[in-house]
Amino acid sequence: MMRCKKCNVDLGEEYKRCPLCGSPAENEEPLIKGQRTAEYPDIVYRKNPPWYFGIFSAVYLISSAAAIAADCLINKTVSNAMWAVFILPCVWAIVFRPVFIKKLYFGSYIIHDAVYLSLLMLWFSKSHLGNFGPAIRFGIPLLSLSAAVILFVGLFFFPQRRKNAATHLIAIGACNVLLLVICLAYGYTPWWCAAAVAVCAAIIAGLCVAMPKEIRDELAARFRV
Amino acid sequence: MLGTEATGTVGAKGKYVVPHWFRLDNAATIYPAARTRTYACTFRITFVINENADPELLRRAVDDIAPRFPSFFVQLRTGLFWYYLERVDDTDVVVEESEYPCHRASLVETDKPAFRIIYYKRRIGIEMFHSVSDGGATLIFLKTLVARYLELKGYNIPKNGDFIDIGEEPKEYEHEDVFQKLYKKDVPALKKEEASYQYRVKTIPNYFQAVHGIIPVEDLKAQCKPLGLTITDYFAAVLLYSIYLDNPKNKKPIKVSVPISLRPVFGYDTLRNFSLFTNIGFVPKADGSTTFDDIVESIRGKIKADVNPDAMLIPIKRNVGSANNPAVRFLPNILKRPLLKAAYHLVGQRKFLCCMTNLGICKMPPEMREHIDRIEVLLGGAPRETLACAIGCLDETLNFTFTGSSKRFDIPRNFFTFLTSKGIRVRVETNNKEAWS
Repeated sequence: MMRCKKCNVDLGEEYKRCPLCGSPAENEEPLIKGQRTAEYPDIVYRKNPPWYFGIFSAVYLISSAAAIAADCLINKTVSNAMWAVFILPCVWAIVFRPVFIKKLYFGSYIIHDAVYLSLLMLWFSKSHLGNFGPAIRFGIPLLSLSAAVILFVGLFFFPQRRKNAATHLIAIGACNVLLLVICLAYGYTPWWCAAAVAVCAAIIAGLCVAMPKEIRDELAARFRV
Repeated sequence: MLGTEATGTVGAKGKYVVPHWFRLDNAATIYPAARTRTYACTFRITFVINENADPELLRRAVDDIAPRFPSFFVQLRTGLFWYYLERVDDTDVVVEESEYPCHRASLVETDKPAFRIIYYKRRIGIEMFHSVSDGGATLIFLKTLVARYLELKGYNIPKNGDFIDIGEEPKEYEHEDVFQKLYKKDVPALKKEEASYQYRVKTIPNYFQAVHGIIPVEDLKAQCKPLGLTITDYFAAVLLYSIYLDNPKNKKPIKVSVPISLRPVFGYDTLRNFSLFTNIGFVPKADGSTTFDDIVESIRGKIKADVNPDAMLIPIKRNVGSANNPAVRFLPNILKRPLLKAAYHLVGQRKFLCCMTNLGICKMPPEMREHIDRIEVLLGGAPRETLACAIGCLDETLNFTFTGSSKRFDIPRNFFTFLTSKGIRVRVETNNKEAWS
């Protein structure tokens, strides 16, 4: 039995040092009888994981801000595309992702890809909406359609993800309603946006018919005030 | 199969249908916001049993009790305006301990429940995300689990009301957010509180040290009785004195936060969070001559005065009133979270130096007690706290545990050596393997 004479405390049977003062433990009769050491496992100390995503986000935001600044200085204006490049990922990362995605399922990656690919498109394209036109008219709606269809097919293989898919589709549909309004405001034919909205709405309606209580419950949880 | 009633009230045949999701109770709303990369908002309660734990039986015991505790088998989810707890079917929560207690490895943002059952040799315990439940309810859960585990081992454990009978159906009152019920507008406003002295030491990220002090209750009673203090009061006084001895030049008030279970105060048996904090402390004398007796006089009866329904309605009014404010309710979660986080870290945590929780005496049938050596309670500790303390008591053995992410443990040393200087016997154990070599 071990004790620390300096602190005057009993120690675990296997202790070589006092955890309080670091003094060597001494083999003496304990004052408290009938206790046995409850062992803890050996732990491998692990450092914090590196900030990969933080670094990526910082580089992206700084380069976007630099592009906007360069646009201001060289062209004496800031194009819609530049703003979009800067703002869209921020809105997505801050607002949509935490609200609509419980976990990074495959469908979530599709939606992420949709956002980032459309950003690439708008960066290189030109039209009446700054550089944003093709992305609004074709890029985002087409990718949304693909995401919705993939989610729909996935529902047959992963029934437990149906409720989550409903909120994804609401997010995708809401984005495309916004794009549809923009298209109409700028005088473009909004076929692709309308198609994406219609597909999302049809799948959501189907889900609501198939599992009304679950979907209502999910929406009540997600959007309750 | 999970129920799907969002309101979770009464089904077609008058039977309580457990909701598929739960709102966070008022006390729980702060924890998802307060989480950081190194602070998981968790606490741990463990039983040290007489023989090594059997993981297979433990898994079976978890499966058996899961239907009785639907409010525990939940996971934190993000809504547009508020976080909420969604029920999950997965009961695979038993893991062999291989990390520091209350470690960061995520209990949330998974498809599993927001707690884990850990076992290692003679230890069976639970690490709980604080939004799900508080210490009092988690202790009931753990007792029920261990009772079932012992039954599966072949022992006869009578159901005498110390833990929950898993043969019963879940009750509606167990899932209530009682804070909302107790909220009254016509209660005086909470007084402003002075900031506390803060103990600053170098902390090591992802490191966690626990030092258990195993103390016979009879020794404590012999000290508390002449002073007219409860054991919690006495420990609070010794802790404050130990902090004071660490830096006697400090002139700021030294305060510790003591969580109070509201179940006995208001007579509710909810299994959700139902506790509040009271801060107690003293102002050191300017000449550095504060004695232990001075501290005893400063805090005498403070906790008792705070533990009454009228006094507790005041912080409830502030907390529930703030959450019900339309400006807060309609603020999107993404904006609410940083505001709550800032309030918690910059304002709330400045009011006290560390937290000292006492789960009280853990009651259980003698047939169960004979298989259990002792109870341990560990607080994960908040980011600004470099020290946290928790007390668990099983019959005549009390376990006072200091936890922290620093290797400097001056205050625990002051604390335990003060106790031994008063003739109180203390046995010290730790998870720091440096003591073994």
